[in-house]
Amino acid sequence: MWYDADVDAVMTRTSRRPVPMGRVQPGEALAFGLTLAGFSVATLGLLVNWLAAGLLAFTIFFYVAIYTAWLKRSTPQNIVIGGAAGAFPPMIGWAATTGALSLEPLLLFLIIFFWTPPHFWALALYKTDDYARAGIPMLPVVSGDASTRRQILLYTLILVPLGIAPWPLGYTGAIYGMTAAISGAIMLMLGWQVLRERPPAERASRNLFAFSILYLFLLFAVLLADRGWGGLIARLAT
Amino acid sequence: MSLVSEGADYRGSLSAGTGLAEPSLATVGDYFTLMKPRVMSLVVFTALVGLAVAPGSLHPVTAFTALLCIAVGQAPPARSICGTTPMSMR
Repeated sequence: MWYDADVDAVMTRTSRRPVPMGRVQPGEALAFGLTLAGFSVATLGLLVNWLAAGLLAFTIFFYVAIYTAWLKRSTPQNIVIGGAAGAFPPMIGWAATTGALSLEPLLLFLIIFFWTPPHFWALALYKTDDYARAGIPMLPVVSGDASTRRQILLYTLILVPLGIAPWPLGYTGAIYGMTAAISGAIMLMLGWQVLRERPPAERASRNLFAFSILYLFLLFAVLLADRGWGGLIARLAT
Repeated sequence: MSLVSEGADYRGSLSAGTGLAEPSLATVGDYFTLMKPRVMSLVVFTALVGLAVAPGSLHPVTAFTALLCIAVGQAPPARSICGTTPMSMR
């Protein structure tokens, strides 16, 4: 956004964002961002609790300082480590309710954490030229196409058991377990097709990218239906 | 290596060129676009699930406030990010 306006401008996917377009000045975007970050952390701390606020502050710091300003431009593992920032929201939500953390929110964190690389690298496989032009060391640019396809399948192999784990651990019921198992099997099948695909073709990569979004949504939606719905209604009733 | 330094050079020339004092032509819509609303839906949704699944109770107004804070704090401007965030692809 502000820091990345240079990169946004040369990538076709992001070149129409307000800052690279010159419609919002970089300084204005930075001021807007700092104001939002400060107010959101302070409000969460004062009205809910400071564990949740601290986690939110850490996420913002992690993303800006570690991911955007450093990792994204310096290592092909940028997405793996940067994905941690995107994995924090369910943990912050959990902390907001309980004021504490446990194994279950950690599991939700890990599911998103291991979901991010296959999700993102599937996109990077058919947007490689874009990242190369912007000078971002995305995995296919640096390690090559074949290596990226292997790593996508490797992360999917870790992700799928983690996705099923809340069921055997007793956090949720069989409906969740079956959903996670079936959609996980589809993820593995698509990951396998991505592994066998050769570059000019990009259909398998596009399929995995699209399905990965549905997969994550499904896991969380069924978890909510299975576990949280009753509690949410009880809360609204009181 | 060389790719990274090229990026840094480009950034330098860009910031030199945009050190303007005059206000921009930004509209409210431009600021809304900075929030990348479609990206945020998955972030807010996973936060909602974490909040709802956790044991204990939270007043609905407090829960709404918490989600709003997470959404705003996780929004791209607050992180000053560009496009290579996961879930930001649309």
